[in-house]
Amino acid sequence: MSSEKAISFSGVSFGYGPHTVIDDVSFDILKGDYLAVLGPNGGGKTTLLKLLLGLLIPQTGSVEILGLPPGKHGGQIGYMPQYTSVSESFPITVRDAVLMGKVSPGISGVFGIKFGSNASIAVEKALSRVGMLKYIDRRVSDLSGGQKQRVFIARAIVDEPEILLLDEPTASIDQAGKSSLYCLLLELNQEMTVVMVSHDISVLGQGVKSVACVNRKVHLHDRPVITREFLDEAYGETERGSCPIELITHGDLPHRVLEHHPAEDVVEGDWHD
Amino acid sequence: MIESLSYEFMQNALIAGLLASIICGVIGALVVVNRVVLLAGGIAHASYGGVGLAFFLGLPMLPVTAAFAMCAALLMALVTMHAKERADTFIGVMWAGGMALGIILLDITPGYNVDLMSYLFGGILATPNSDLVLMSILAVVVLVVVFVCYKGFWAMSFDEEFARARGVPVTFLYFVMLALIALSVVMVIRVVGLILVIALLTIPPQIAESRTSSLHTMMFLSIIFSTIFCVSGLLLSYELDISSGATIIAVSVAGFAISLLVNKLKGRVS
Repeated sequence: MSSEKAISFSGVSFGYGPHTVIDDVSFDILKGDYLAVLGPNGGGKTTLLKLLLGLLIPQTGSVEILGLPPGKHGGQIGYMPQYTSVSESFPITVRDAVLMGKVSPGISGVFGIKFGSNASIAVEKALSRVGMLKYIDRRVSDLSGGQKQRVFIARAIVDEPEILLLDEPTASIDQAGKSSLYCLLLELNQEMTVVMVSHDISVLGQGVKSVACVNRKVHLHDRPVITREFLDEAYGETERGSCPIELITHGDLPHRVLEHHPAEDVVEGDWHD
Repeated sequence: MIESLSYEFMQNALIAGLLASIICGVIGALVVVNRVVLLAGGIAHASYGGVGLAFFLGLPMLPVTAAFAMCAALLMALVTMHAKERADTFIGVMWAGGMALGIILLDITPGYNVDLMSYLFGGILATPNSDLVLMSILAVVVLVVVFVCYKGFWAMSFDEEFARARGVPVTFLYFVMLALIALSVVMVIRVVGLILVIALLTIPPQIAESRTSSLHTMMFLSIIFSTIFCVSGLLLSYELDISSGATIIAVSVAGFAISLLVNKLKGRVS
């Protein structure tokens, strides 16, 4: 990781009506990071992502991406929205779906029917990086959930962004598909900053470099280790204290997260003894 | 059957059917892929309020109805955007309210009144040349606007959120699309009636959607299917001496059923 900032939030608050979703949040994410954004549903994960993209405007504070305000980044940010935002039966080939990632911002993205002359080379390159080149002429609606997600990652990286933002990339796919998707993201992280929103705690064993815990507040952890404090922040304390056992048994490979936990790093309150 | 084509009213009806097919094929494809069928139905029904208003005020019907439909579309668009979960209820209210307003205004207007049936089912066999000219102009407008803004419509229809994040002016495009829907619905209703407009906006694109892998071929196929339904419906209604509008709809619905059946059989084979 370099020491240059990729993303910077300072004093950001946002709410819908009287309901505060993000409350006075400040943090920096460095270039080259692979950040998992975790937290309960309704905790503000997606809101955070939309603030980053400039789809929502902070009520107080400011957001900077690559030194620019959100929405001014052109092709420097690759975005993969939640799977549900896509029209399910839309008639489109894999090639054209990836080509969408080349749509220019602003009014020039509206007019005409042609994309730049190098677009089709970029599309093929992006598809081969996600291992989907052989499906290039298939209909998107004929693909499996995991294949579709790969196509949408190709769409996000076709313009060679510096930052890749993913919203719940593994929500609709099976375990095998998840593992291979995480491998792909790890590979992509060699070249770009990756920020992944997820409600799935099992991402922590998959090469993630740091973790942001979002529940109105944002807490950054520079190691992907589960601590008791972390679970409290992420999932809130229950009446009987926040014993994480139940949460962890619902995860996929919890012990992989715990076994890399060096003894000298044990801090008080850590769920380890 | 051939001799029927020598009558001017039949020629006009066929041309009207073809023009309505072009307009509804292109706009209908956008309506179906953007999932705004309910909204389009709401605009169509609410526009009857505009018909009533035009008669009540003694103003020319087309501009008043078009303006009324545009306002209804704008209102529905605003609600759809800002309170998505309440949108269907609101559209239902405007749907019914617009029609009721139209009926009441026509009731209290003295003198000759258009009857509701001709508004619902249209009078394609009585299309005057002036309407053909208007529909031709609209067809050109629709084709030009959609062609010029194709990339934007395409991106918005496939994944609105991605397009928005990418900086495509989705809100602007959404309003342009609704304006086109309102304009098309009002123009085409005059000729083919409200129910046929909704049938032509939804059935051909729905059949086309699963048979292509691009939006522009979906539009093209919709025009083809729609033309087949209009022409065969018209000829059938002439032969059997039954209502033309209802026959075209019946043929379209039969086509839709056959398409579903074919899809199902295909699914079983592959």
